[in-house]
Amino acid sequence: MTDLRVLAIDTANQPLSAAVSEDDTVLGTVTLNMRRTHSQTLLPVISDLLERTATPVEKLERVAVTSGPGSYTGVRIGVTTAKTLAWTLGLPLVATTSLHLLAGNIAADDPRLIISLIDARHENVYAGVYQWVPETAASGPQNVLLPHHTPLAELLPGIAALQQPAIVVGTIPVAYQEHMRSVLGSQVSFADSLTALPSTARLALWAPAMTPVADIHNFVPTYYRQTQAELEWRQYHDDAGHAPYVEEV
Amino acid sequence: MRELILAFESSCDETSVAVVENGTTILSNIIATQINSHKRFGGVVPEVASRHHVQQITRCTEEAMTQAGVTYADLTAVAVTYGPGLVGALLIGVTAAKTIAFAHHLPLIPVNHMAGHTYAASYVAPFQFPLLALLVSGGHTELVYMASRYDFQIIGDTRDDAVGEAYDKIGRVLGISYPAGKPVDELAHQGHDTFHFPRAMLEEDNLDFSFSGLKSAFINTVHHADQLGETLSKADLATSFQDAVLDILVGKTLRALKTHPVHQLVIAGGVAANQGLRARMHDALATLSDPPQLLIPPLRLCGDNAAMIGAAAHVAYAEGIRADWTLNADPSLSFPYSREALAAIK
Ligand SMILES: Nc1ncnc2c1ncn2[C@@H]1O[C@H](COP(=O)(O)OP(=O)(O)OP(=O)(O)O)[C@@H](O)[C@H]1O
Ligand SMILES: [Mg+2]
Repeated sequence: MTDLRVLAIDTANQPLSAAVSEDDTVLGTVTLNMRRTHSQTLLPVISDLLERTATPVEKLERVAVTSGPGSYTGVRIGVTTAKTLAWTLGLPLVATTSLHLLAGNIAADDPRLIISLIDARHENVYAGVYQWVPETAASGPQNVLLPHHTPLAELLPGIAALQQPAIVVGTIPVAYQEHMRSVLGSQVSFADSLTALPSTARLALWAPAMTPVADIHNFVPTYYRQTQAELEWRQYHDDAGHAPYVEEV
Repeated sequence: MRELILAFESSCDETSVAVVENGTTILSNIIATQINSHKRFGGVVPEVASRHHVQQITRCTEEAMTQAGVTYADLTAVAVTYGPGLVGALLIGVTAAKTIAFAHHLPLIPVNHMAGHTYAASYVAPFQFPLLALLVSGGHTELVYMASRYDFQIIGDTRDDAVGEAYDKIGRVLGISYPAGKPVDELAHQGHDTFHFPRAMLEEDNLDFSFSGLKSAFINTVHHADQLGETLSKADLATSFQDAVLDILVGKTLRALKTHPVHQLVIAGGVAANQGLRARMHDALATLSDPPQLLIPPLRLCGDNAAMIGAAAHVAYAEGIRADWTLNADPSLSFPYSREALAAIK
């Protein structure tokens, strides 16, 4: 494995992050934290980054992306860009969650539980719990509690039950922090806002050790929630035996 | 020289990718429709549509390239619908098209979906200008005047519902699942116009349309009968509705032809599949002393598809129209209104 050039991207939430690495060296990374549509910004950033790291697209060997959770549209722009690029250039695609990426911002020698949170509004969060394990550190911290969508209040008893000191990473409202402090007390501390910016530089470094997606065509975001329409439909209907939802005509 | 355009369309509930040669030959036109999915909800659910598009987009592209028997090196450009439509749906096609153009160093051509619907008719015969297009679809009912090959001016528009939307809404009242256009069209051939629904704005001296009054009259008629415990003939209802629609569409088009003499009349968009409309317009033109040539796309090219985007892109490409990597979806993209049309709205 020499000269393995990776492009890593994340547009799951408000920040946009892209990075290019070669083996274990980050050649460049860009992180923006603007209220702009990722659709207008992502490809210009990639184009610029590849140029400035002297990486013709033909030289890319792997694409890495976050598959959510986050803003549905944002996640789809990242996923569609990554899967299309990987497929059209015939490259392996690797993916992880935006929660895992956030957890990676906590130093690898930190023994605490890492609680990754993304605000899902109205006192709901996307949450995942992680911890660094030296043996598997090459592909990021290990997952302790699977990413899921939950009311914040329902997440906290489970964290308390783990009875381990924890650090929280993620951009969440102050009210959520206060809520967590009031329930968990000194068990939790909070990483600063800079630590809550996703770092695809790290994802790019993990990418060589990650298992590629088996079927790029079928690779889609992990949404964690059904749409309201589907939820209501499934109350009275069953997917089984239904005509294929998408059909070539 | 052989010009090959890889075209993308994802504005609503079809993921479509096509390879078009010289704007005239369809080498492939893959259409993956989500109708079965949205039927569950009685209409298109935007978030569900976007989710399906992500899953279809590279597969459809692969099939389009394979069926056309071409490689990226053969391609001249990549084209994509960037509006109007559902923003989340449009973004999948736009993102994929940009990425492929970027990866293979190809120019990117942004296409207005309605220019695509119009140019679907160019597969029937080469366009001659000036040309008038009656664009009738799920979201649009427009009379568009083309003085030249990529100059689109709206001279008439709907003030409320689009005609396809009206079909879908009255279809629901008849118990016909989405999309109702085709079944209503079939029913309409089995009944009589017994209800004489209103033909809104038909006598007015402008080129605009209105279908909400017709839709309401239809729904009220059915509800009123329901309350009295009467059952009305579905065929007669459908015929009465369709006759009113056709009177309006044909009447306004003939009025437009008087003030805007043209060489060709195009009917395009999903509702151009309507058998009644095709026949009635044909007959109406036969009564004119110097009728324009009538161009209606074959059925497969009336609904959303990428081959029509490729045909429009061929002309846009010749006009030097390009997008850069900042291209975004524009859900409310519209042709400009002619001065007369603007005055009529005020
Ligand atoms: N035979 C028919 N008669 C009447 N309407 C029809 C017929 N076939 C299809 N339609 C209608 O055409 C519409 C779909 O057309 P199309 O796919 O072009 O619309 P759209 O892409 O959703 O909207 P737009 O093109 O305005 O963005 C539906 O409303 C459908 O009911
Ligand atoms: Mg359409």
